[in-house]
Amino acid sequence: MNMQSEEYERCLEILEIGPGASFLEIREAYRLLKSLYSEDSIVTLPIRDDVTEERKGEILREIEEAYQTLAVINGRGSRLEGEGKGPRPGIDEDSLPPFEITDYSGQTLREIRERKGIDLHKIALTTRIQIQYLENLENEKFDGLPPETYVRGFVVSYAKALNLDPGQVAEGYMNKYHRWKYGED
Amino acid sequence: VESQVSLKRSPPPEIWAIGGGKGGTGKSFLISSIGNCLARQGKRVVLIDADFGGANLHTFLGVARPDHSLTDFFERQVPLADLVVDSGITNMGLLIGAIHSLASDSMKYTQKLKLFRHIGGLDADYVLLDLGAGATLNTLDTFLLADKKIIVILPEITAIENSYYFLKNAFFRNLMKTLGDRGSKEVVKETWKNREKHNIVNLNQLIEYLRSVSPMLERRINQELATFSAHIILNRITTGEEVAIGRSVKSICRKYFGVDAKYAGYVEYDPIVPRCINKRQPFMQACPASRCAGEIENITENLLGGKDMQLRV
Repeated sequence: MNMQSEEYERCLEILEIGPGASFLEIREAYRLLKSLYSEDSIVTLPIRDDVTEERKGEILREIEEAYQTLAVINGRGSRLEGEGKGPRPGIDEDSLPPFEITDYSGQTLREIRERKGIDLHKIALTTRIQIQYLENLENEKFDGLPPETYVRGFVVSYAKALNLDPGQVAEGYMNKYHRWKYGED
Repeated sequence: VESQVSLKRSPPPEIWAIGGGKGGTGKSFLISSIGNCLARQGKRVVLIDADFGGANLHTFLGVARPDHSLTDFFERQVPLADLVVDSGITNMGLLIGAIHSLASDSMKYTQKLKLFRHIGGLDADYVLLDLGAGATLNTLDTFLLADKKIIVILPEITAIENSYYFLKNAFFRNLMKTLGDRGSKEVVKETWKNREKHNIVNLNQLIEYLRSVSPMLERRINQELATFSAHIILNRITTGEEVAIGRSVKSICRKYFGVDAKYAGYVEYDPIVPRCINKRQPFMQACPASRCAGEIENITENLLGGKDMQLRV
């Protein structure tokens, strides 16, 4: 037990996240580091000649192993059981059960965002909506939001940022909002 | 008043230095704003403009250029506390670098040590040093003497490149100094001189090689690596994707250079900032409710706690 938790901490350290990170954070960190060490970017180009291919490969292997270990401990690594120690972690978005949404609520919006592994900061920057409002939107803390017309605008921007149909999302969300504002149905 | 300042034996102030190589990344803006946040929390702050070439922190605070500067401390032995002027912000004093000296990089190492000794005696909770641009030995040494080492980057390849250069040089300089104090400096110098023979092209490989020279050297290098830490601030981002650049740079520092780094946070680009600066209005007071101000407050909290930026996945 103790050994496993030590191993767990070590893997989190490799993925550069703090103890107690959720699996979504783990997955996001893994994706970020994997692309950082396998693709050229403004962060890696300036030191391209400083690092050998071997070292890069070593780092990528470490990241991959750490992620797989964390995935298995989190019960997300079913594809890896037995001999299947392939390079694929098996926790891609497409492997998640399909997500049918008819009625958008704050919670569904958050779930979709989390599935896509998008940080709320990113949404705040794309939509230029204060993070506090976005949180209230997700938590359906309606009294912590500005007047109704703004709320609708926020929901539309949020939906666009997640690549969802703004009209459909706004309709579902605003229904809920109205139920709160004008009382039950 | 003077004797009160010098006789008081409160704990020495914590020294924060901000640097990062490239000019125009917002170092002065950020450090004066961070100072403002600390002062507002009731902490006593002294802001020192250690940009010996172009001291202009006073402009960010909207006060006139002080008549006194560090030149008076070095040349006329005026006590440091007497040179601290009002910054226009409660709890925050201002001390500027050499304004009358033309030779900007002329401060000797002994002078620097003297300066830091006296900074340690200032009656303040935090002393914030603005280092200015460049990676001269002077700048690096001042950076290294700080308790908290902050570097500012932009989402631009040149700024990132310069920050790597700055950090690598700072770390190497630190290593040389520590080893020099203990007589192992020659080994490092010799190794670097014959680097081709040893197949060394970068800092990482040099460190790896030195570790293999002797267990004693390995211990010292590990010790240096463990105590050296930098805090990264990413300034002027314009898209959500760019938030991750800070994390990526932090990762490179850790995995490629073996140096501990923290991502203290980002500040997004807002045209109101240059407008405030041009009007000589302290930003945190002129626009306290802006998103930038909130982001700078978060950064200040993370720096105080020595933490990484909180992610909200």
